[in-house]
This record gives sequence, structure tokens and C-alpha cells, in this order.
Amino acid sequence: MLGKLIKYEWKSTYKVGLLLLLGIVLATLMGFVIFQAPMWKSMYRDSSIDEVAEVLLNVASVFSILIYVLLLVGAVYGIYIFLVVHFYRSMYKSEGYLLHTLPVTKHQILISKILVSTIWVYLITIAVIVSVNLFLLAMMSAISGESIPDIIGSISDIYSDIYILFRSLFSASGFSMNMYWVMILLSSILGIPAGLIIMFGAISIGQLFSKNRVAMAILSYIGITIARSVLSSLIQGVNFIGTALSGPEQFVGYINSSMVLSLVLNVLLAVGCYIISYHVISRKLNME
Amino acid sequence: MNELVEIVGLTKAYDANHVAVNNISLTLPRGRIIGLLGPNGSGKTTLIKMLNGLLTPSRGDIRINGQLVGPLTKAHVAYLPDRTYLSGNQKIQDILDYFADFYSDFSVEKAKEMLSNLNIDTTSRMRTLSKGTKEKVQLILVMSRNADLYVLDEPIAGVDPAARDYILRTIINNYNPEATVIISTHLIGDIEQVLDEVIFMRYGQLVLYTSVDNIREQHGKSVDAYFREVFAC
Repeated sequence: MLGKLIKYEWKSTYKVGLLLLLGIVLATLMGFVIFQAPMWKSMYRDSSIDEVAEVLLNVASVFSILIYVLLLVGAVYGIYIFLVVHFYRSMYKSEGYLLHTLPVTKHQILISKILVSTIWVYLITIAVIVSVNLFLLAMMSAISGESIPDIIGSISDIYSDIYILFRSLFSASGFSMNMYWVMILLSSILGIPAGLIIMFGAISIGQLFSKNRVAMAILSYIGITIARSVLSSLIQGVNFIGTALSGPEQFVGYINSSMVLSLVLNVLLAVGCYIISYHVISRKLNME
Repeated sequence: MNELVEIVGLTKAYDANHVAVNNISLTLPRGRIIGLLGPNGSGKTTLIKMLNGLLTPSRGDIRINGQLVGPLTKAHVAYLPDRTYLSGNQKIQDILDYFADFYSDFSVEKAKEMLSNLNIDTTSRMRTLSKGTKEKVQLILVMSRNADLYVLDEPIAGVDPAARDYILRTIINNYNPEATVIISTHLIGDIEQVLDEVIFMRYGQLVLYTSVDNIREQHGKSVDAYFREVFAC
């Protein structure tokens, strides 16, 4: 039954998801094409270019960067807004009458929704990362006049120099560059579903009220976010005093441990929110 | 075991001042068509939602086939809600696939036959259908299951009299004799001829649960006339 729920959850989300992915592809293509235009090369390397043309080029570039950024931010916000509204409507509005009378368990319902939503945010996030890199490469290539493979070569050279420098500087103090990247990766992989589960949990908390359920859901989300910041500040404060203040060379170790703590906090909150959602749909369901 | 539904001390209180269903105990047998009757706000829909697990009782419990309401009972209960629960984007064909995937007792052939009897095109999307046609589609989906218990909340409220007759015929012809149908309505006159038993509810309480024949014999009245007498304003 879980497989079937996932299949239909995918079916009911793929159109909007694909549309947003298509938006990112189009924005990237637009950016890429704009920076491939010969006018860029003349702007940065041709001193004979007249002032009016330069102003026009500047305006055009600022404008296209602005549109590009807006499209990307729109896609990221778009997928979250869509998934949250979709969760609310399919769980707690009319369509919930069908979902909650299917012969499936409440865990299966929640897991199918979390899984499919997570896949969509992963896809959008990967698309944004690839897009920004392509966009920056195209821009650097346009400005410097070098080819994109050359730029990639120079960047990786610079990165490996920095990597070696950091490693030799901080290895004694407990800061691990590898650990840093592992934590960034883990925070993204686990942080995305955790964030979604927290949003879904807030919607479920809204269902505990007999009136203004959407407003209560939004207030719950704000409440959880504030609670998370307060908790995080407290824990990081203690961590800071415990590690960073114990000696200057310990400070970098603090960066590692603070990332671990923040991830652990998010995962714990997500577990709490999952339990709340499960409790609401299995014991407190009140379809209006 | 002839009992299909056992309701014991069932209460649903939204808050201290609003008790929608108040301490109902009821045992329903198999093989009956039962009218769930009562004025607006008498708790009919609340009771129905609890039978389907859409509302959690404040007290008491419901067993269907001896099981507490949950995934196991939902596999054997076909529920028609008092609203459209299908997404407007879906095509009828997709919905048939959906039902066939989740309900092992759903017959696609039966549904297609009924849809073609009513000239409803399976390639049309839900949002393009009229309110009455949407209701018919939902009823067909529900009646194409071979369930133990059918729970129909206001199945004829939104359709024209001709469709009403078709729906009632569908209900009578499509349920198996071992199954029970609960129909909630206030259009008693229209469905009276198909009912075996009636449940009267008022202010969340059970007023009466008896057979239609009993009402006719003891009171010499139709259910409709008796209802008007009991619930006279």
C-alpha cells in the first residue's frame, strides 16, 4: 500500500514540480545565452566602446541577473508553498475524506507525503545548485574572456590550494575540512526532510483547533521556529563557552561541533513534529 | 456472527457546550438497508464520520466485523461523503484506477457499465462535470465496491428526481445481500420504499431504531408521516 500511496502522491505533484524545474532550466538557459552574447566581451575588453552602449549593457546585465535570481528564488519558494498547500488540502480538506478512508495506515500516509515532498525539494535544490554554477561560470567566462573549461580548471586549482592551506593550518586544532563537507552534505540531505516534517507538523497542530486552523498552523510554525532559535542559541552558547573560549586553537573545532549540534536539533524537532502529525491524524482527526 | 456494526457508548463532544453525538449504543445486523434520519444538526454526519474514521470519538467505540475502526475496517466500508472528495484535476479513468488500486473489492467493469448507462464519459475531468454528475460519479464509485457496509451521506440531495430513481435502483441492485447500507437523508419520502429499518436521531441522541414494518403496523403511518410527528416543530 505504501508503494501505491507514493505512486499517487507522485502523480498529484509531478506537474507543478516539473513546471518549476522547467522554469529553472529556462532561467539558466537565459542566463547562459545572455552571457555568451558578444556584447559582453566588447564591454570588458574593448576600450573604444561608447558610454551609452556601456550604460545599456550594464542595465541589461543587472536586469537579467535580477530576473534570474527572482526566477530561482521563486522556484524554491514555489515548491515549498505548493507542497505545504498540497499537504494541507489532501490531508485536511475535502480530498482528505478519500485519503483517510483508504485501507492504509497513518504512518503509510505520512511517509508517502514526506518522501515525495523530499524528492521534489532535492530535485529543485540540485537544479538550483547546478544552475547557479553554470550561471556563474558563464558570467566569469564572459568577463574574463576565458573558456569555461579553463575557468573550471583555475577554480579547482584555487580550491585545492585553499584545502591544503586549511588542512595544514587547522589540523592540529581538531577542525576537519572533510568533516566540514560531510556535515554540509548531511545537513542538506537530512535538513530538507526535517524542514518539511516541521512544516507538516505545524499544519497538523492547526487541526487541533476548532476555528482558524490555517492561522493556528502559521502561528505554530512561527512558534516552532522561535523555539528552535532560542534552543539553538542556548546550546550553541554553551558549546561556544565550552570549546571556543578554552583556547584560540579550539575555535575552529567549534565550527564543526556547532554544525553537528544544529543538525541534531533539527532532526530531533522533526521527530517531534512527525509524532505530532501522527497523533493528530490517528487520534485527533476532526474533518470539518 | 450476524452483527456487522457494534456501537457502544459513542460520544463526540466538540467542546463542553457542543455534544454532537451523545452516548449512542447500537447494533446493526447484516443484509439491511437502514435509513439514518433526523433533522439538521441531529448528529447524523458526525456518527457517519466516526464510522469511517474521519472523526475520533470522545468516548465509546465502534466495531465493524468485530474490528475497531482502522485500516482493516476501511477495506470493507464504502463511504459516500456529503461533499466532493475527488480532485478536480483527475480524469474519471484515473479515479477508477485509483479505486481499483486501493480497494480489492472494487469492480472497474461494474463502474464502467454504470457510467456508460448514465452517459458519463470516463475521459472527462472531474472539474468539467456538473454538481449532480459529480455526485453520480461518486455514488457509482462507492456502489462498484463489494463492501460489507455502505455508508451513504445524503446520496440523493443534489440530483434531479429522474437521477434519484436511478440512484435508488443502483443501491438496491448493487449491494450484496450480506451487506448493510446506511443512508442518511432528510428526503424520507423518496427513499422510504427501499428501507428495511430506520434510525431516528435528535440532538445527538438515538430516538428510535426499529423496522419500517413496525412503524407501519404499530402506528399505521408511513415513515415520512411518523417522522413528521416525532420531530414536529
